[in-house]
Amino acid sequence: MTPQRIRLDFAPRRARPAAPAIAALAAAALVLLAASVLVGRQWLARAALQDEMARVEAGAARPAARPVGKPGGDARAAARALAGKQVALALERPWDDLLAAMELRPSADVALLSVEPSAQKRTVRITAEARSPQAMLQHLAMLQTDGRLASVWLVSHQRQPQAPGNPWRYQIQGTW
Amino acid sequence: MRSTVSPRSNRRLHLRVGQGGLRLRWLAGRRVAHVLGEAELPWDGTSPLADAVATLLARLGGTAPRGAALEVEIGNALAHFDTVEGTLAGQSDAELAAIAHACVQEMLGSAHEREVRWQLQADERHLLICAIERPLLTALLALADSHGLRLRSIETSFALDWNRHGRAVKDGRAVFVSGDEGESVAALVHDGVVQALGTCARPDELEEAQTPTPAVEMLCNSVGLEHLAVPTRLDAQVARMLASLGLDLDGIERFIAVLAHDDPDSLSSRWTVHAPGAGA
Repeated sequence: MTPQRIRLDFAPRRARPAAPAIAALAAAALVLLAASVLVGRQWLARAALQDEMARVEAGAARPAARPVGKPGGDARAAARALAGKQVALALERPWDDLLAAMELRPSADVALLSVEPSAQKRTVRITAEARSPQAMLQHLAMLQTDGRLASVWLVSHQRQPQAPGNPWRYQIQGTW
Repeated sequence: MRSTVSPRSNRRLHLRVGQGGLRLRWLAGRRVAHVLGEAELPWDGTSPLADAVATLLARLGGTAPRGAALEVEIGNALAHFDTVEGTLAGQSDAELAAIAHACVQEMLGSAHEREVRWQLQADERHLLICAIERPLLTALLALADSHGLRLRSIETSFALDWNRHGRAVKDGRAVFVSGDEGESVAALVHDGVVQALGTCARPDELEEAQTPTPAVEMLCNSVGLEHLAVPTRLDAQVARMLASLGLDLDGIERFIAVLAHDDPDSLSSRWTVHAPGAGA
C-alpha cells in the first residue's frame, strides 16, 4: 500500500464559500433571469398591441382614405387584425397569477432552476432542485392544490450524485 | 549565517522552530527546494518570536517582501504525537475530532491549550493525532502579521520527513524515525500505515548504548563482519518502543531514519539513513 501523505497542517484554514451557498445563489440568479425574461416579453407584447390598436383605430376613422378597389388591401387588414387578436390573447393570460404560481415553493429546501412557459400549448414547465424527495413532493403538492395551474404533474425526477448535497432535480408541468 | 542573498518575491521563507533555536531559510523551487540563504539563532521561547525572526531576516540581508510565503516547520520536540486504534471507518469528522481531543486530554491533561489535528489512516483503523501548544501557534500568526508574510503552512518535522521519505516503507513491517535535535519520533509502520508512534528521549537522558569491546570489534573485522548490526542508542530507543507494543527488532523488515546530523556511532548497519530535504 502506498503510504498516505500526512496532512496535519496547523496554519489557519482559509474560509471558502460553501458549495450549497454557491448553488443557492446560482439558482436564485436563474429564477431572477427567467422572471425578467417573462416580464420583458409581456412589456413588448403590450407595446406591440398598443401600436396595432392605434393603427386599427386610425384606419377605422378614415375609411374614405383607403384606396377603393386596390387588390390586397383587405388581406393586409385581416392579417393585422389577426395579429392584434393574438397579442390581445397573450395579454389576456393571467401573467401575475402564473408568475406567483411558478414562484411557489414549500421551503428553502427547494430551488427553482428554470421556468419555461409555452404560450401556444398554454403550459409551463418548471425545473427545480430539492434537498430531499419529501421537499420535491411537497413542491408538487403545493402547485397541485394552488389552483392557478391545472393538470400539474411530475414529468421527471433524478438524483444528482455528483452535485454537492446530492439534490433531487425534477421537472413539473402544468397548464393554465 | 552561511550566505546572504537579496530576497525576491518569487521565493519563500522556511522557518524551523526547534526546541533550542530557530533556523530561517530562503528557498526557491517547488519540487526540489534550493537553499538560497540560511541563518540560525538560539531561541528558548521567552523572547518575542517576531523579534527573533527580524534578527534572522537582517542577517539574511534585509526584510522580507510583503506577501512573501512563509512555511513553518515545528520540531518534533514541540509537538505531541499519538495514534488510536479502533473501528473508525464511517466515523464523521466531528466524531474523529472528539476522539482526537479525548486522546490528547488523556495524555496531556488538557486539550484546550493545544491545537489538535488528526488524520485517519488508509486502513481506516488507525487515527494519527498531533497537538501543538496554542501560544506557539498564536506567536507564529503574530509573526506573519507583523512581517506582512503569507503563512502557507505549519507542519511538524515528522510530517515533512514522512511525506518526503515515507515511500520507503510502503510494504511490510518497518520503523520510520524522524530525527530531531531534542526528540525523535519513531513510527511503527505496517504496509504503509502508521500503527503506533513513540518518542525517543534526548540522548543525555539515555543510558550508554551497548557497544562492542575492542576485542570483539577486532574479531568481527577479522572474519569480515565489519557491518555487523550491533545495538546502538537508536536501536535501544526503538527496541523500547517496540517492546511496549509486544514486538522486537527482529520482527521489523526495514529501518528508515531521517536525520539531519548523521552520527555514525549512533547507528547500526540495519538503518537506512536519509537526509531531510532543504525545506526541512
